[in-house]
Amino acid sequence: MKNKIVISLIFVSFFFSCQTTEDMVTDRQPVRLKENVHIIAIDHGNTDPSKDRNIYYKIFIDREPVAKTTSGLFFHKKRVSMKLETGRYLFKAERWELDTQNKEMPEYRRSNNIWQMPEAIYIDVPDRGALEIQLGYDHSARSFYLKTNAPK
Amino acid sequence: MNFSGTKFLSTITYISLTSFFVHCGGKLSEDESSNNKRETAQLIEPGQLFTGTYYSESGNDIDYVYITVDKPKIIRGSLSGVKGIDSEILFFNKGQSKPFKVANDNASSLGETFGPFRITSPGVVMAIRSRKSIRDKNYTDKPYEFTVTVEEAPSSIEIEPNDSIAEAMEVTDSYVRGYYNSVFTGLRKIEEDYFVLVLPEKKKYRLSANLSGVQGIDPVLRLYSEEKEKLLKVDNGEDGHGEEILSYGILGPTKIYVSVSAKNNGVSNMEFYELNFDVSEYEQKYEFEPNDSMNSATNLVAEKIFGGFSSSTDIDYYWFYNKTTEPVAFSVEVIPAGSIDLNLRLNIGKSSDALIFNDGGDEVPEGITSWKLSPGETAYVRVAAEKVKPGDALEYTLSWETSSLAQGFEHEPNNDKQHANAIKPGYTWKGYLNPISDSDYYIIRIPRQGTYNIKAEGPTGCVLSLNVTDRKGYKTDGAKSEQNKLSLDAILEPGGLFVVSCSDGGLLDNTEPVYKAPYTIYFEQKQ
Repeated sequence: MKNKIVISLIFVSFFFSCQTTEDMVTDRQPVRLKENVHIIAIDHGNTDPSKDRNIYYKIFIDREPVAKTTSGLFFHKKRVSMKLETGRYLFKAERWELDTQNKEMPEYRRSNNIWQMPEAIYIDVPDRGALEIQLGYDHSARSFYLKTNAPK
Repeated sequence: MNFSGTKFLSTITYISLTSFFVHCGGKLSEDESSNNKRETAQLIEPGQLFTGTYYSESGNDIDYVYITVDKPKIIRGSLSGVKGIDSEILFFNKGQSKPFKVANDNASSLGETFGPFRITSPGVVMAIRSRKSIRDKNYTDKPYEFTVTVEEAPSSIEIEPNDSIAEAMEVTDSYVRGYYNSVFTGLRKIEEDYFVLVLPEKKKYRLSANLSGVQGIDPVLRLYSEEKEKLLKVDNGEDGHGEEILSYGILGPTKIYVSVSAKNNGVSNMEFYELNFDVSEYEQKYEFEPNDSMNSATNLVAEKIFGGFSSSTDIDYYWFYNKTTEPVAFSVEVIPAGSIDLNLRLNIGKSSDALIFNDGGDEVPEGITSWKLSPGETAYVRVAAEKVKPGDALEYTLSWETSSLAQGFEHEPNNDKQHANAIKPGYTWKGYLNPISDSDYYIIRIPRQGTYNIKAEGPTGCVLSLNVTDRKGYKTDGAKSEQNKLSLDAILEPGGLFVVSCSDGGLLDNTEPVYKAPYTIYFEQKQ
């Protein structure tokens, strides 16, 4: 009888343990993972200092704004890291630039479309390691660029 | 006439009897043989017509006349005009060589009027003369006519001369009465009536004075210290209105001088003014004038202070010192008694810039809500009237309190990034946009960057603006309320700011003043 009870408890606890993991994945609840998506925004190719300005990128995951990079000049590395569960996401970065006309409270405004990431893309967050996304504007090529360390 | 001793009295008796007969429709001509000296002035009777001329071989004819009274009386009179003559009347008390009054309108051909003013027994000598020498014999045919009337003096009437601080009449009753008249002082200055109050004890006194209005007179009331320094000038009213001194604080023992004058000098008026005094021991529930500067500010001790403006330019300062070891929230409310538009200012310390609270219009209270006062800091509250109209009630009530700083409440000053209040998610925070141009800054305390929903609600009529900034203070997001409510999803970062402000969408029309109409702000992380 005693042996039967022990076996039952092991079985039940195993069942609940699996259930919890399953819920976390499907509902995409925040989990205590180490940050596994690193975004670095930096412009290349700008040779005119007078055109440089403070910018940041607002990050949209599955069309929801979830984060923004630090702000900085074109050539600064602007970063943000996120914790996302393994899986595929729709990713978009929106460029905002500082308008200093209002001296009392300078304001970030969404940059003109020519500076923007043209389309959202899918990103796949790996189950091991981190996904690194580098993006920005290539002034020489006059186009937005984005590259990741994800395997092709 | 000789004014001394028994001869004087017998002369009066004689003249009184004589004048009884003359008075009944009598006319008296000058006696050139005797009326050129003050000592031998010619007696005239009340109501009697006296005639004389300005001609003199020497060119310096002065006609002295004398009127007697057995007790203090009020006199007034008139001197007819003579073409080409700028006449004047000088008034002398018995035995005095210097006149105490001069009636002269500085105009030729018009004559003079004088009084009413009080004279005392045995009477007054009047010198009638031309201001220019008259050697033209033709003037012997151009007599002047002079009459004086005498009336009973009202009780507590001023005693002339009281035209300077040195001559001020001591007031021992709760009121004194006086007259505005067209005469000048003996020194040919505009007449001003001076009174002196003696405050004998070593204590703080509170003086209020009320001067009644007299038709046609625009009066001015002044206070002078024992050292003859002018303390206060009250000139709020206009023709026919009185003036008032409210709760003026005085440290005894001392004397205080009060003067009454008319701006429109030259107007004679038989209506007397009444100047009422209320002298009491100072209580902490009253302001202590003079408190027109930070250095003389009244200490806030009683929770409710009754104050008032003694003139349209009067300013009242109050101070409160935080002597505790903790910061406190300091709040003030000032309610006007009447239709004045209050202007409230706050200084923390003497050198800081003043913050102005003046959103309410006429009759509307002004207030300061939850001002953070650090240990050792002194708050100076300045109360003034924006504009005063004749007839406005100039009193107000100032209430104040301190409380401990509570979480969930905004504490001013938080008008910039450096003074931003810390705000955490999950609490409803309450704040006041007072004055309406106020902006409240909150520094966001969150562990890490994230997306949050922010909800804010302002008072009715307030178009609430919420700006979200990054940690550098640059705006990254924002929203304006519709129907005084707003909801915003924004990415917040630690050290970023909420900046809350309000534009008037009818807010100032509310019955509730802005310092009593809070807004709330709440934010929580989005899942």
